[in-house]
Amino acid sequence: MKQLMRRFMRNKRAITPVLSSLLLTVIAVAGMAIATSATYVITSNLRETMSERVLAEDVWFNPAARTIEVYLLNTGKVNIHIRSVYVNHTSRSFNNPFNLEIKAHEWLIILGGWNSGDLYYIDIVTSRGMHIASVNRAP
Amino acid sequence: MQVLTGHLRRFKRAKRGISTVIVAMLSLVLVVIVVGNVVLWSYQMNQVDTDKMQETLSLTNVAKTRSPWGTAQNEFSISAGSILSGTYTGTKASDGTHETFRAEPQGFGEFNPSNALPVGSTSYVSGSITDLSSNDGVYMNFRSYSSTSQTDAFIAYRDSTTSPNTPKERTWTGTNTTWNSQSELPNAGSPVRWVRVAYCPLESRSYEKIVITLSDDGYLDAYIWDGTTWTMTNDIASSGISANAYKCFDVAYEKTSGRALLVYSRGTTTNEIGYMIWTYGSGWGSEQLLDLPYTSGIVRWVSLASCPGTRAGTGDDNEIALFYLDANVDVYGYTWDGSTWGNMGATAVWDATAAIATEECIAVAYAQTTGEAMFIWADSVSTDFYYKTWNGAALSANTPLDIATAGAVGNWVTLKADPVSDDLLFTVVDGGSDLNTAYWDGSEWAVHAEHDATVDTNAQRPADFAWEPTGGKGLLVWGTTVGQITYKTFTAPNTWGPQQNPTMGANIHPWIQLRTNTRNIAGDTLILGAVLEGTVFDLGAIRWDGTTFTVIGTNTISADTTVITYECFGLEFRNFNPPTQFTCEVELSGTGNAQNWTQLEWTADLAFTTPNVTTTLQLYNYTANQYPTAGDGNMTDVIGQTDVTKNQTITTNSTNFRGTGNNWKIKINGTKTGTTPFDMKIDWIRLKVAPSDTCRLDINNNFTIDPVTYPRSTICGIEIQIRFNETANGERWFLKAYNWATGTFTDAGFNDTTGDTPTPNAWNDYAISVTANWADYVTNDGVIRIELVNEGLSTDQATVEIDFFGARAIMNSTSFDVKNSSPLSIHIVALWITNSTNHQRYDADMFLNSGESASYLRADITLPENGFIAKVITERGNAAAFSND
Repeated sequence: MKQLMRRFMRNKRAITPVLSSLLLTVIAVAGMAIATSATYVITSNLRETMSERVLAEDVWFNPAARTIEVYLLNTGKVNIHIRSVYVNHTSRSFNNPFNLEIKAHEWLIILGGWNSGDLYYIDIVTSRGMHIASVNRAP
Repeated sequence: MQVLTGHLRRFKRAKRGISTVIVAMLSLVLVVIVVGNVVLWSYQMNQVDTDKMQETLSLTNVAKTRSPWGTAQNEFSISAGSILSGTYTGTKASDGTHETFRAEPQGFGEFNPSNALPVGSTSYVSGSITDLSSNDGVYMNFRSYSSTSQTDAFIAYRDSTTSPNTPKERTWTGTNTTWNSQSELPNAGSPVRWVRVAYCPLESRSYEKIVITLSDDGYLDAYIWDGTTWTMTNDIASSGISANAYKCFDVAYEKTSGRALLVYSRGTTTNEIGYMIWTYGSGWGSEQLLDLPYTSGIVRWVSLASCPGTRAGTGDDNEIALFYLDANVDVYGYTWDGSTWGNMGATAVWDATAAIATEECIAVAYAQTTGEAMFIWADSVSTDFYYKTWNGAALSANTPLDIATAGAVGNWVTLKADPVSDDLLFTVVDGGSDLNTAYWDGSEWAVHAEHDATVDTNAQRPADFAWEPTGGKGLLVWGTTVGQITYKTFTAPNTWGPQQNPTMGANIHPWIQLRTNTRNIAGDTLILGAVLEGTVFDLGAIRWDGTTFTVIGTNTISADTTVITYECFGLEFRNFNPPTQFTCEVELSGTGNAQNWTQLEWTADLAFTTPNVTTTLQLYNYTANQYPTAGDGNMTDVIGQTDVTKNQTITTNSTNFRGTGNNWKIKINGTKTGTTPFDMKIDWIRLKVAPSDTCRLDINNNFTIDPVTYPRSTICGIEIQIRFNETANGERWFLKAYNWATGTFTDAGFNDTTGDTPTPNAWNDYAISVTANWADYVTNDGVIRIELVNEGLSTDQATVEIDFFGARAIMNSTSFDVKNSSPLSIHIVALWITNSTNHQRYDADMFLNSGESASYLRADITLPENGFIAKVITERGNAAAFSND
């Protein structure tokens, strides 16, 4: 037994393959981790863009405030941020910043007035470029 | 084996290829991970979108929550009407099984008169027929008339007894229908040729009468009877011995003042006409002259007519029309207004070529209701006549009237006015001895067929016409055969009775004069006439009572006037008889209903302006065809100046008092002995019969809402609905609820209180919603008592089938009826109620399994009263909407 231990301790030939194997493993795992992280980072924006779902529950031409108010419900899987609002292809001011978390809902108030009987094409654009568009006639 | 071992050793020793492989594998892994990540995420989002697309949600109704219908649990209570068939169970569901009711006649029908007709000479004073609808002290007034006796008349005439210089007169006693003995007037100093008479139009001097004679000496003599003696004014004026060959004078009373106007020819060619006024108490005034600017011949014929004073807006109370014809066959006219003469704007002779100057071919009369004067004369052209009218403002142009059957120019004409209308009747005897007539209806003439082509003479006037006092009918009398007098009855506008030819004397009858009774007394003589017979010169009398023409005698008035050349007599009825009794009589008529009258009560409330008037009230019995003189339909009393209500209830044969068209009539007669007229003041006339023709159905029942499930605190209103089929056309039906606080049925707070007029003989749904005052109609136990009642508009007796009748509570919450038609479960996350003024979102949390329908109740949501749009939003982002606009 003692001899065996002595031979093992004195034997110098096997250390390098082991170390190299271990090293290779570590490098491979690290590479995979980096690759996975990189993949997640690379596809994150795409996934978020694909995950945006917004419902315009209601459009109200508010006669008192003379605003066009759109009630938005975030039915998607990411928070959204409204970047721009266009009415008849013209940019309108709104209650900016307007953010909706997942499952959140809130009035988006579009300023600039409206006229009874007119037709309005309302285009709401998120920061990721999604358009929520509808055509409404003012009462 | 060694080779293989050798390759392994070389492989273990080789260091160049390992890194390349590792890099390639790592790259491959990286790509796989990236693509896998994206694909998996995309798949996941597509699954979300697919699920969203598969969602099929519908919002079928949004309304306030209702309780189940409460229906009848017991038989209906009947306040009016009856149950024909079925039971209340037939009204519990809209299933075709129904209960049938019928409206029944109810209560009393009350009727007031729609017309009041003064009887006899009773005259209307004031008030209207509507004043008789209630006992309120507002009267309809009528003035009594002297009803002492039938009307007297008198005649003044030439007679040879003693001397033809002394005019004679006789009085007609209407009650006895006899001409009294002859009286002699003071001597005129010369044989009388022409006689004109007039009676005073004032009741206070009704005895007063005037006789004017024109004698051979050319002088006019005037006689006034003051009730006791004749006062003569001898030779009051002169017409000369040329004009006295013609009736060149006339006398007429001013209707209101009671002054008399005598107008006569002075027999001269300047200041041709003279006139004098007789005033009560002061006698005849001095002669006044009228110089005629547009004519210059000696006036030969003068005719006057008194205006009835009925012309609106003009001072015509004392107007008298004058029409004259002179020796140059010129005709012209004036009007006297009580103080001056007016030429009516005519500044030239009316006609310078009248038919003939030696005979009276002119006439004037007033239409009695419009007060329009008609001047008519014969022209020199055969068959031609002309007329002018004067309405107080304008004189019309000469207007032709052609009587084609006239045989020559008109010689003698008369124009008589219907006493109660604007009708006139024109008679003409022409130079060919033809007798023709024409009728004026107030606006135009209608010529009748010729009556005779060979009357007794055309040198005198052997024809005359007179209306009956009630108007519309009259009598034409003429002479055409010796020994006979001929007559026809006339009914306006163009109906003539057959010609009758009773015997009278033995010779021709050159002068005939008819007069209409001025009063309308039952049984009185309607028309009196005097007829002068040729050869023997007898002046006879005739009489017409509306049915019988009587020749009183051929010489009843005079056995010898000695002449036929002149119309030597004048006849007039008295305007008023000596008043010893006055009567006021009115007939009131109306319309009842067609029901089977089991009872009749008739009521009159009246008074008089004088005490102690013997009053008889009669309800006409149509079966007996008369007013009852005793018993049912007859009441008597002595009524004074205080209102007395008289009524009588008839329980036997009540329908005898109803005539064709359900008409009825009541006559009230008030009579009092005295010398003063009085007024009858009728306040109220009512006929009350049982039953009425109003059929009513009035039913009610209790409807219960479960108070445990639907406590009052959760109720905000009630709904009532009925499905029924009724038969009455045009009937209106009302639903009412019992107000437990006031104890009455009412429709206060109902969304509709105008009732429902359903299509008859069809099933109709009528629903009422009560959102105000509903608490008054629901007990704590949830009981609502509902009444169905008709308005009674239709004369049909309605039969009503009720298929469903119920009430339910409107709860203070909102129900969203949703249906999930998709294969997925749906999660509703939001509700919207929007209207024109507000868009309100409510969070929701409701899961609906696949294929499931459900009502989602929300106590916190109050629906707008007017239109709204409701939406539901699902978690997946779908929406469904319901509109209640």
